[in-house]
Amino acid sequence: MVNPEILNRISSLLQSEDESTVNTSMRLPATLREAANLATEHLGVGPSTTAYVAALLRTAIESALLTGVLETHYEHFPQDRPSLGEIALGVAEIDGNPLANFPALITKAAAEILITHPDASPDDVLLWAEAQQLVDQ
Amino acid sequence: MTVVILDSEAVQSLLWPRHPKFRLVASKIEAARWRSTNHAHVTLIVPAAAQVEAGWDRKSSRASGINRYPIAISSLDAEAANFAARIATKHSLKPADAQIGVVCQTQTARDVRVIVLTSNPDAITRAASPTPVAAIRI
Repeated sequence: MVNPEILNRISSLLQSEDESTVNTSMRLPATLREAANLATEHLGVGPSTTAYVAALLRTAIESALLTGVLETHYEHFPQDRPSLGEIALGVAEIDGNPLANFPALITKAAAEILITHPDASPDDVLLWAEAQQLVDQ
Repeated sequence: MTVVILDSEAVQSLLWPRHPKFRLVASKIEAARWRSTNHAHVTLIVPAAAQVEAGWDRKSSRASGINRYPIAISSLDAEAANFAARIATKHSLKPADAQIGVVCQTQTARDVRVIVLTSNPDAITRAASPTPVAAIRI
């Protein structure tokens, strides 16, 4: 489990309004640096290479932080971890998929698919649920 | 890019460790992450009015859990307040839902996919109109 104090510190740093900058000694592969420069200049990925890299770094850290915070919560409260079926239902709702109106079907599909595919994704569940719905019609 | 906007009840579910809706809200956040471009990144946003309505004081000791989440607060500046006031009046909505409507419309104008976790999807749909948003019930 990640030390909660580390999560607190990362979150606090990301939310800080302090905009002071530092010259980093972080070493980047020269080719990657040139690719970033070219992508900034010619592909419009960001206003500057520095801004582009900083934005990517922030995105990556926020993703890792969210994972860390949720996993820490799940370790304390295992019963709060959503099931694959619940996540698949959320995906269906986000997509406006009509399957969202049949949560029991999604729950059943998730239970069935996990028997043979323990690493099944929410999309796998929805595909299986849709197939089952067609078979039943 | 995908943003997930939390209404006051969604905020409360993260604020209280044993909130009965935590698992439901977590499942929708995980779903939004799955649907994002890289299956991982979403930006979580709480409008300031929803923060107030939820009673989330970052300086309170009981907020230590929710303070860890990478949540951006959307401030209610003068321009946003005027916009929210128009929405609230037009649709008879609470200030927090009206500001969610402002954030939805602002984000959608940037070609961002917007998902709102809310206890009142009908109110959010009206607040965001004519912008289409995924208002997911929690």
